[in-house]
Amino acid sequence: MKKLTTIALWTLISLAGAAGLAVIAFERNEPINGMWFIFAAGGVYLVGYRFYSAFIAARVLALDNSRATPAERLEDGRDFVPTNKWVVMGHHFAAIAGPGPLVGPTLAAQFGYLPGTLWLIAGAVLGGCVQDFVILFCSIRRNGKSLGQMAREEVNTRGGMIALLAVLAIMVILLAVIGLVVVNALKDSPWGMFTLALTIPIAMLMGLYMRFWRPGRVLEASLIGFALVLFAVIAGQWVAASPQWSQVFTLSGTALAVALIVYGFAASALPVWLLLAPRDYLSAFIKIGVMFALAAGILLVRPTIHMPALTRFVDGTGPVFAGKIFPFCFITIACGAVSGFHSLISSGTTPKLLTREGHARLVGYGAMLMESFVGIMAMVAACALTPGVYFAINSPSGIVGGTAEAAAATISSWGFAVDAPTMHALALQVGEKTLLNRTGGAPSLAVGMAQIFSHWIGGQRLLAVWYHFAIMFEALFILTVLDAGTRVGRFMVQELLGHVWKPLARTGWYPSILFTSALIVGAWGYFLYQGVLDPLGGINSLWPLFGISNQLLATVALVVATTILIKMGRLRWLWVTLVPMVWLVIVTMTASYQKIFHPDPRIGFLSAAAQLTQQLGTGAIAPDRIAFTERLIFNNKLDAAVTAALAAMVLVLLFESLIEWYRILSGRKQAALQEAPYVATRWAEGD
Amino acid sequence: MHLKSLISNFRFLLWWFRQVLGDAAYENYMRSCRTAALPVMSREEFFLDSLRRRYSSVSRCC
Repeated sequence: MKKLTTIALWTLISLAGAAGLAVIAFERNEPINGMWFIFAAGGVYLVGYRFYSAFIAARVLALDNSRATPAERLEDGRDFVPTNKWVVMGHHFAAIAGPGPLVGPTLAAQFGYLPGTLWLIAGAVLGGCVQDFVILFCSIRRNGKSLGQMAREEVNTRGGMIALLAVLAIMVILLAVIGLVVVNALKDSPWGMFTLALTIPIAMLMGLYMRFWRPGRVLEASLIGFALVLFAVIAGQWVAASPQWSQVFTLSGTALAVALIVYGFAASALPVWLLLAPRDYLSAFIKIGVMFALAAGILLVRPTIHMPALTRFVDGTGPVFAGKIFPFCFITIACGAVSGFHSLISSGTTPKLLTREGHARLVGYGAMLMESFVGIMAMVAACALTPGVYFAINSPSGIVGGTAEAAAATISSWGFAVDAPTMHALALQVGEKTLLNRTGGAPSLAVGMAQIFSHWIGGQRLLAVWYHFAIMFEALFILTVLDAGTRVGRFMVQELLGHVWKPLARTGWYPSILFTSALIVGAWGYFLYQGVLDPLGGINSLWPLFGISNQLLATVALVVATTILIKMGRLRWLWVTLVPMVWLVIVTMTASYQKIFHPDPRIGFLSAAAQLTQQLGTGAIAPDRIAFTERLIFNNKLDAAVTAALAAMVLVLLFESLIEWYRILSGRKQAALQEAPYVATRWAEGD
Repeated sequence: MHLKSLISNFRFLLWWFRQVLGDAAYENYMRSCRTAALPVMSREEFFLDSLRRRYSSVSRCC
């Protein structure tokens, strides 16, 4: 009887998922409800988790609950701590969920809701979750070693170095692009700027509280911080309404970029307890709350999706970013489906906390499904906007024009009706001077979220407060990534420079701290600044660069995972990691090639540089713009070189792995796994 | 019965939230120290040590 009930339940879940997929894939005549996205994603995720992850756990990895995990064998109360699986899942999810799954799907909505949604679902179930799960398993079996260490030991030394360089490169590009998202969300926005600026003293106050008054009382400090942040969101409207104070907090894009660069340097050099850690605690606190609230909001409001399934921009002429669905939809979605960055978390803190090997399934596979679901929610929020409004917010002035009238005319000519009074009214409703040309995804997502939340609580009266709450939420945890990323980047630079001059590797030596902080901040700051100056909005060039580097890191992780599976003798199930790996290689190599060599200047960096050079040569550039144009030419060439370097690194790793696989499979080399020896657990089943 | 299960669910949620946020980290550490007979740090020392370890490797994702 129980078996029959189970079969009936899973049949129902599968049918709900299939019905959701069918509606979002085939409905063309009228707007559909956002609930179908929830059915489609929820159904597929549950089936994927129940059956595919169970298959991987049992057949491919053969997880062994009788085997003691590093948390048990090496327990030290600090790094290695046996922890409840639901708590580890919470930790892991809080660590992997960043701005990527919010921004990527919002940008990819320019193709229509269908391509991005399908990739979010399929990519996560067959690629991203598999990567996170397998790398977590590999790290557990190796005492919690990092991806770089595993690449060095299981592939070769160069593999480890490539992983380290890839991580450093992705870090620099990631920090630049998320910085740009913040700049575009806050420029000329006194309310938003005031709220975010106030989070700095609030974080410092929390830091002092947890350091001196109530050491380690994170929950108390977070609650105080949250109350103060809410006050800052509300107080922002008074600042925006004041003629004097609104002037103080109205910053241009370039001024904001400089402020972010200075802030990043300070966060990297200051003691971690003062700014970085309290902001991180506050961000995690708000992040978990907002994710649940957004899910509940979508379920309650059931928003109508106004974006069509496919837009005319599938042909590659999109205003948000240039390029066709293949490969750019996959590159743009990135983190919500597959994220190379997750492999660093899966081989970082998480493997040191698990009490059973079997828990890797829930934590590795399950947490990534949740992250993908966040991406689906972002897609729903973005597509609930009318397409005209979506494109007015997300298109750069270089394409649609700088005035509301010009933008409305251009966007309407594409078939997406919008007019200047509508955009003015919407800007007024959310408490902004303008919403035009706010590229980067954050403002349009904030408008979508605010519409969902205000439908639920407060109506139109609270739309502006909800909008700025959403902007604060996005900016807050982007800054958390910026703080933490800059600091880790600084450690990496110190490690690398320590080979040149040993004192530079000392993480507590202030001259080295200042020097290496300046280097890492200078690197991402340069890309950020060039993005702000870019007439196409910067996101057009930087987000694909970030997506490429992220997916290349995922390729590195899947190469390592495949190598380990070969050494384990699991040849029959090799396709589990090999298929997503081959797909990522095809996608990223095609995207890299197109970003470098494509003849369309909006896509290819080199053709953009050539076009500008030609304009300089023919005298088409005004004299006062010559220096600026020369800088744009240099930036495009630099972007091309960075893309080529990233692709070359992965090709080298891939080539060397293929040789290694051939040698093992042909019997020329004995497969030597670097696993820790088996030790039986001391804990009874169910502990 | 219904109220009891509601209270129990709320308690679990609070416990989970404290664990995930790191609010209960010192209590967990003390438990580990007792189990594994490790030297004990004060709450403040432990807090600073945990921050130092947490932010010396990639701890936040994109």
